[in-house]
Amino acid sequence: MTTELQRSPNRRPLQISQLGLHLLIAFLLLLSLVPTAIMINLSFKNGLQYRWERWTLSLPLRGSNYLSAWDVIDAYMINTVLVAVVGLAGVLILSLIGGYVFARMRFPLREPLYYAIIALLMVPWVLSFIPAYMLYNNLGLLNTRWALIIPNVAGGPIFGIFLMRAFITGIPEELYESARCDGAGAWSLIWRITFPLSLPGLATLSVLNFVAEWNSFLWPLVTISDMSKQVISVGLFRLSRTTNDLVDFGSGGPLFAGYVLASIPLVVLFIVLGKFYVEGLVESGIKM
Amino acid sequence: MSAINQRLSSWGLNSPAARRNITGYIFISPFILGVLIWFLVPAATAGWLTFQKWNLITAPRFVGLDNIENLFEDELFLQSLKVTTMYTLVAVPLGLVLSFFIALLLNTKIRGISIYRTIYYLPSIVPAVASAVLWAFILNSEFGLLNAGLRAVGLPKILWLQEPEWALPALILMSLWGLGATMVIYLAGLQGIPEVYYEAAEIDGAGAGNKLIHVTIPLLSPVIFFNLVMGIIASFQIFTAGYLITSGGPQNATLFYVLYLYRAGFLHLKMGYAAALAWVLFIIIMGLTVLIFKYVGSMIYYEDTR
Amino acid sequence: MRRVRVSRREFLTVAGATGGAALLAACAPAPAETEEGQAAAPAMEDVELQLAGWPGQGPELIEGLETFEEENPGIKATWLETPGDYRAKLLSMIAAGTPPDTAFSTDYYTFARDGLLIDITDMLMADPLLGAEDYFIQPQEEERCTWEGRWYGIGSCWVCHHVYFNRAIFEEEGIDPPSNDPDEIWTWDHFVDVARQLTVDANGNHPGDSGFDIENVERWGMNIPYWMHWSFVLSNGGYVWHPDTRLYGYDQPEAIEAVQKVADLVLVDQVMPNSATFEAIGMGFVQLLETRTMAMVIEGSWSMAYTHDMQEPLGTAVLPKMKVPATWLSAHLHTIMQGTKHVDESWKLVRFLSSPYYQELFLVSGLWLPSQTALITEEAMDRWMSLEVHREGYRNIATKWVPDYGHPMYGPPGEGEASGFIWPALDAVWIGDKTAEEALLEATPKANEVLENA
Repeated sequence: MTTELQRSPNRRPLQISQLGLHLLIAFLLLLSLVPTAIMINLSFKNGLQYRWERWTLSLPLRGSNYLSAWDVIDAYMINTVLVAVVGLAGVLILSLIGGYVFARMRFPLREPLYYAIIALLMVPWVLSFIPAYMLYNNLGLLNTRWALIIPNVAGGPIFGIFLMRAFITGIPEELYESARCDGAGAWSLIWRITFPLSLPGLATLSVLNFVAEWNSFLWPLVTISDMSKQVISVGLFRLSRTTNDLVDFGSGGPLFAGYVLASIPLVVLFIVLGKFYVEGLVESGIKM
Repeated sequence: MSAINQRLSSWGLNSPAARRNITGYIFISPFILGVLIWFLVPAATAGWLTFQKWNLITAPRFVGLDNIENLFEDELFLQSLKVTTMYTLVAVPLGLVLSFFIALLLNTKIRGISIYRTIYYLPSIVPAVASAVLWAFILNSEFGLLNAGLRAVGLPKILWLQEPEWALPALILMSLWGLGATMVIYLAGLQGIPEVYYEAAEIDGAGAGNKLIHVTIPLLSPVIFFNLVMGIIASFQIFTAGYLITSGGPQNATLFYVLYLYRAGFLHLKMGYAAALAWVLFIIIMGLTVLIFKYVGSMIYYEDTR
Repeated sequence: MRRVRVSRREFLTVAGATGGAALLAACAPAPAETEEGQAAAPAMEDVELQLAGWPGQGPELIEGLETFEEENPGIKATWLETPGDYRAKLLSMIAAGTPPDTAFSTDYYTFARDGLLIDITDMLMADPLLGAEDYFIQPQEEERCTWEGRWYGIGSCWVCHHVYFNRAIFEEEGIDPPSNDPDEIWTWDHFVDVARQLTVDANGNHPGDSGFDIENVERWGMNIPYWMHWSFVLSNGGYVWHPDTRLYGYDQPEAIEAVQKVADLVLVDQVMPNSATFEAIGMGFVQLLETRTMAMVIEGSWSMAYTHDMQEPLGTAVLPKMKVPATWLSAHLHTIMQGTKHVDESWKLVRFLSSPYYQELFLVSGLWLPSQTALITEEAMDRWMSLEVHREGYRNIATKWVPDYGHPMYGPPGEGEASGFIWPALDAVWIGDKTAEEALLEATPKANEVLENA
């Protein structure tokens, strides 16, 4: 490798190419922002502007679209946060424990069990759709928030264990050894050592899980009949149907204001956890 | 208590190590139990449904292997498999390369990296329902933004969502917009590469290209591999774009596998057949993953074998 | 509000004139509110009914249900709205053995055939109001509601296809606009010819002129959402599903010719853009007409409800005819699901939903067209029709176009799967990859095989 490297000339990057690099970054950034910008632009339009000035910026901006949208979707947003947070707590606990078990404990059939769990990642969601509906129905869980929380707590840790195992493997063994010498049991090894050191990993998992919950659509649509318990993606769909965007253009603005509002919690979450998120990914070293 | 200990020791399960074994099972049991009840019981029911004819309305009826035999005569099954495979073959590698490229660009020591990161990540957290509506806007052949752009530079318009040869590329284009999630993972990987490797390479006289080929890519190979596997699993289950934007058309050009499966169940009222389709999909994804692990996984460079 | 309110008294006189049952229910004494009374009458506990359907019904539905509850003490009616995939929702409920009591129909004939709906024939025939021979616009109501001669639901209303156009453009161009009166119906050729005159590119050329620039059209003559070719298959003397065999008629020359003529609007006549789905992009016809992107648009009658704030004068007209005047008719039915514990109460609700009072609630906004004869009298139309919503001459649509030339179209069992062969074939026709003959002769046998085995 060394000899091969020595053959290539040592070129200092030119200033111009640096500038080009930044221009390229800016261009790509712009490109990726276009649809988001369209969304925000549309969210400030009134009926006429929406019809006549679809793509251009038009004044005055109608901020009240956000109020109308919020009126419709506030309950859905709150419901989703509630369901997602409770579910996430379960997912984090089970993933932390599971990750620890598969990274640090030795027991018969550990590897086959682990691979069986990985295999579950590949089960298409539609496979169990109707049978699961019937199960929830038989247990009287339809139209309750449990119907939204349980699938996440049961299914979320599949990826969670996979991620946390990779992460926990990276924690130096010496830490555990010294704790074991102090007589720490498995339980306290998890809570006193693994947990504080796994925060970045858990942050990563939180972002991924929360985004997935935020987007789940068909399952809540079918299991929740009471609109007062319904979640945001169904709520957005309803907003687009009720305002009848298809033919009634006056309502296009509030619809897009609703889309923007619905994105905000995720943006905030990512900004808050973003640093940890990346750290968690770095340290897990993502091994399969 | 002693009776239990006796029994345990007779199984060789009384040593401290054995206790640790059992602790492992106990710790993992809530998860296993959850998966069994809420995940595997419905999946097993679906397995049973594979051998039934069931329209959701009247009672299921045992039909043996009919559902599986029907697969081979179903041209739409083959079409959906073809569409999904083509989508995967293009969208996954393209996404991997592009997001890797962007991550490389962003991995310079520029100020405000976290802002860039957030901006790139933004599209992947716009609610799927919203981005579907937005892209229908952009791709419309008569009034869409994309064709307005083509017209501005004097090119003829493209019937993105009506020409079968353009519909899938249009959806792939749309998927690239959500690259941010993959890109952030690369970026994390890149930041995890210790600076010393690059310094060593520079001392050896390596240029940017050499550093990329001999340092970055090998050290990042686990991350690339991770993104590859996750990308394939997700791409074979793509549903929303076909469901909300194209309804599988035009001429079945975007009839994704899961969309066809969903229709088989809820539109054609053939739940048994849908279950068979689902199992076939599971086997395909599983098989592919195993193959990738076998042939690509062996090329992966892991920094230290922990 | 431009909505005309129908007084309760008015409704009660309509219902009461022949509907003794409703009147009795309305006049039944309210349950005693003393403790004694409650203890003595445990049977008076409220019956709760669910009505399942999809959104977009407006406040009228809730208003209607409240009226129903007032008239029927002891029955609560709850609106169960599914904002997305209604079919998946309803099927899940059925599969789990917990269907709603009453529901908007989906896959009506399949549900009727498979015993999912309660046969209401006897209750309907015994009803003094609804059972009367001239209560509904016939024969269409019987045609859509009966499966093997029995009734499993009652239509909510009718909706049809017709033309919408920008009246100002016609005036400026000095062209006579089309009419709402089927007696003055345009031929297809005349319609295409007018569309050609109204289609203009940036240089003022029309299709067929040398130098016409298809890439820079300023104004299109017309637009038809492709699925609405159904009306023209009928108009050309063909059928989409045969009324007796219930098989597709897309392999018949009449259907093939009609489909080709619609496709040729884009491919040959160049009077229409190839952009099948404006709906999906929130680019509906009001915008297309008022920005003068288009001169004429064929659309569903329900869209009348969204035209009130159009900035240019709107006109409406019947569809042009290929051979005979014809329009597709549809609308959901109100059905009672098998498995309800409250058949009698559910019937009361369905009956109420089929009353002139309830239907009129939705006529006012332009969303529905009448399916009951009582609502197409001049007197009734004076009440629910207004020039702000229904433009000049629209009465002809309600009194002639729908009753005389409307054909109900509801998919037979297996249609969901069979259409999986028809739509992709049509996709190829619309963009000129195949002729209608090539595509449909290939696809129809496959689709019909599915229908035969359904």
